[in-house]
Amino acid sequence: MTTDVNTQKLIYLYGFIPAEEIKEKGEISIPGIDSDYSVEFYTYGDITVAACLVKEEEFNEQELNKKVEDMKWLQEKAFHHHDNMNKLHEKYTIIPLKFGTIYQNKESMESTIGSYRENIQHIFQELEGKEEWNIKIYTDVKKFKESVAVTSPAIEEEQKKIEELPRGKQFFAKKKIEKRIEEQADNDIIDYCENFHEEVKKYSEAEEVKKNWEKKLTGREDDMCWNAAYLIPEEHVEKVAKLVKDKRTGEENFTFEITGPWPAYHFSDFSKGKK
Amino acid sequence: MEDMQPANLSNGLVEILETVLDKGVVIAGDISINLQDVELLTIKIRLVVASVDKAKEVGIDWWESDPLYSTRAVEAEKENELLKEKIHQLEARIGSDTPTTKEENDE
Repeated sequence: MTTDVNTQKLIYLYGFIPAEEIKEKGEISIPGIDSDYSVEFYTYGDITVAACLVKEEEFNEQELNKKVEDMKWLQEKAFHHHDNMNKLHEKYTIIPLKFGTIYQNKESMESTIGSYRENIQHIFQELEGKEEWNIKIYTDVKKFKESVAVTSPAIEEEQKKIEELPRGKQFFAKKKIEKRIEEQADNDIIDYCENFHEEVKKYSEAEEVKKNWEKKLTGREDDMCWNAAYLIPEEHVEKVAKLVKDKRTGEENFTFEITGPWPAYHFSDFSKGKK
Repeated sequence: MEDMQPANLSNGLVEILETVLDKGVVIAGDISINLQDVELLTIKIRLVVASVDKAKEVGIDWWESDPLYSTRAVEAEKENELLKEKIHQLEARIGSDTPTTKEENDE
């Protein structure tokens, strides 16, 4: 596609790749976030940046902040960002940058990279030979609470005692026991998920426990009760997969979802690398 | 491995958006984007994908009226409060025994 040579351009960044991997494996050809340009690789010492040119009139701060309000545009570009990151990640070790990292020119980009050089190197080493996997656990909390009420001997006994109480006292005693059932169910669910987490941790190098999504986000009928990202050495990925498979077998109350390998979105943070 | 899904194939829309818009390394770029709360964005986008009009048809438009999420709704709520107060004042006047003349009103 031809573009006016006079058009002012900015640089949109995807991520950092060890320069030696680019040398060894060669560059891949993928489209840029501005469809008039393709992804290019700029090498500064031992760090290569995967980036693409974008037209200034479309990606300047004012215009961009208008565009991110357009959900259709944002969805398309966010998916493009993810898609390109996956393609880069399939071939190279990559430190994924957050959506919308843009520089005015190469000098400005180079100067920022220079200031992060050591951290980038450190993260390259941490990510080498490892994969990010996400695990989510779901349960139907309402159903789970009902099962607690039925299966707990202590609660069953207390319920019998309530029936013997005078009617006026029964109301408050019932409220109290309902609260107890809820608390116990919540604790049982947390215990179950945390125990599972401990098992996965035996194989992972790093973990990040995330917020559970509400139903309006998941669109599911059951409730998310665990959401975490794990950085797993390649040789342990099969073991984690087996762990999840074994958990699924015969499990009635909990549903497991495992996705990956993802670019290490959760484990590339420079500030953590500084420690 | 049949139970595991590669990120580029079957990940849900929500998972991709939540990760891409919220995660990844933040370095100081020359241009900064002001993204809204990622959960809200994800819900909005999910609805766009499923057609916004259809969502509104079935009454899913809470983000437009929820003051937590919409500046327009915050303004509307303030206006609402102001109008309510005026109505109360008017009702009080109508209900009072002494009729209010224009002169008194201006004082």
